[in-house]
Amino acid sequence: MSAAAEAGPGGTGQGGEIALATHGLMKSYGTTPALQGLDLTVPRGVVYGFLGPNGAGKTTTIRCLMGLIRPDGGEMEILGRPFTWRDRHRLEQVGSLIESPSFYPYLSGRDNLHVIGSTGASPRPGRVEEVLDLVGLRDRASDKVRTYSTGMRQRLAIAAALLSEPRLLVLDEPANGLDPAGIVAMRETLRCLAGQGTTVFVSSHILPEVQQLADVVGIVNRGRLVRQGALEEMLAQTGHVRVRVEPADSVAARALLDRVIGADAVWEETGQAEGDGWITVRVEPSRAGEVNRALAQAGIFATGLESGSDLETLFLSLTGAT
Amino acid sequence: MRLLQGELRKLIKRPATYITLGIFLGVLVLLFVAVGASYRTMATLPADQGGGPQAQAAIRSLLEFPGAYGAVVSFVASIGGLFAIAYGAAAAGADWGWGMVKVAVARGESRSRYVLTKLAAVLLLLVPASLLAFLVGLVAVALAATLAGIGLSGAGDAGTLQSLPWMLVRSWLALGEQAAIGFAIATLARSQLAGLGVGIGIYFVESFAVSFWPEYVRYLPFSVVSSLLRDPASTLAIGEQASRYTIDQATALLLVAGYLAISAVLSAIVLERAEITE
Repeated sequence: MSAAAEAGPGGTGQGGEIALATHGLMKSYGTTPALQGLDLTVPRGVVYGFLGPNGAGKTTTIRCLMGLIRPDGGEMEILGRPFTWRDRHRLEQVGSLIESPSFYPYLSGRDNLHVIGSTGASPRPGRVEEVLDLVGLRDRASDKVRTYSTGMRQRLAIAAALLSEPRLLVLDEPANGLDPAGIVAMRETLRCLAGQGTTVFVSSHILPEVQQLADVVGIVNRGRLVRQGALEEMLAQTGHVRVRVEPADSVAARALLDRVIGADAVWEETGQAEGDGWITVRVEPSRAGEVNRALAQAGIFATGLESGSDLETLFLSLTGAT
Repeated sequence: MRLLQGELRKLIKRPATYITLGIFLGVLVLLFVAVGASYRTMATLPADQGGGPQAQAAIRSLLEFPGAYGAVVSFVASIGGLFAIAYGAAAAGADWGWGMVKVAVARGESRSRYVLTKLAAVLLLLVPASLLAFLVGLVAVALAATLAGIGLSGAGDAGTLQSLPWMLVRSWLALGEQAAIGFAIATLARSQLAGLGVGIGIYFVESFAVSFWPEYVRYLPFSVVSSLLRDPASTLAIGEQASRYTIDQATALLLVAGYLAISAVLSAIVLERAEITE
């Protein structure tokens, strides 16, 4: 079980060790507020999915955390210690990919990594070749970056972020431009890094991807955190089982499920055609069998049964996005 | 040192380095050869058409050794100054355009150290560039002198050869100051094009303004370069009015170094305070 799952929603996990945190973070661009008191807590050693609609403040948060812009107020913490404008040298322990990948187009992929490695923390000898291998770019490493596809640039940017073996990895939309195989490889790499103790903070719009990758998620909207917690628990809260019964059985089925599951967790949806109605029960998807058994024992046989939970539903309900 | 190596690697592998140098060397050669080729024609032209013995004497002072050494150094630093502004702006501005400032800062690199090391790399690269330009200029001036029938006697003048290293240092310093100005403007504007345009614009405005207010303009960044490069022993650029347009070399040296330092400090302060959203 992940540290986040042990810690519970908003918990810090692993004995309270925090990889990254913000407390009341504020930032405005002119009169437009971008962050309005953002509170994030990212436990160490987890993959943290940072979600929010466009303009929610995700990139602004990352820019503040990476010392690119000054917050107007609030506090930040990186790797367990307060992080201010004066502590920017501590970003040597952090790897990042901010917005789109940036490289010198006239240099090769390998030369770009060497040049990037000349700033901040020094990579150990041979590390450039290691990360090129890791992202599958060794064969094209001598080619100029201007000849790379979007996906290759994205992979090179991930390699650059991993160059100095960071303890905290901050990635803004890392799956952008990657093909399905690249996305799977990236997911495996990030999971592997988290398994080795690296904290991975991923901002993404691709919700199914985050659902497969993250241990903990934080959802922001209009510059504020609207929900944060272990993904498993959040999904469990939004899980559902839907059963379809013959129209003649619907009243009895509803009464039975009200009694077994609880009236406040059961509601009926009316379909387009007669007999097309579904009864939805808000329970963990793993309890689908229990629901089915209760109905069968009462002599009501489901003509359809579905169960599931998804981050998208939760995201849309919290952010009001459509 | 690691950062400096990285900056040098970037500049050495950048096509703009060779394009800028190539164009500059081409202009330099073309200029001297054209002057050499026009020498004989001057004799047949009347004075009111820019010819005559006086015009020939002016060309002779440019192409005749040992004075030609000073002429080459002066040309390298003055015409080269325009290219130095462009190159300094390109070095600083491109990092903004390509989003590489963001990458360096997010890796925990000190902003001041980053910008100062970048400028140091430009200044270092100007050493071989100015030496190469000097050598190419010498070949061009020798060719021009031969074309003009002036000959190369005096090229081995011991006194001039002894003073050559110091002349080259002054030339490098002048180029460095001009590159640093382009660099600072590009850092301030976060744009290569702005650094180039504004830098060269100031260069020409200053060249124009010196005709109207020489006693003030001679202290300004680009005008002070001509005072630094002026060889007191040479007849070149020393006329009756020369003292109005120039200042003594020691003051010029201090001012050039000062302008270079101000450009470097300004660049560092600007980047230290910058909100990086590109």
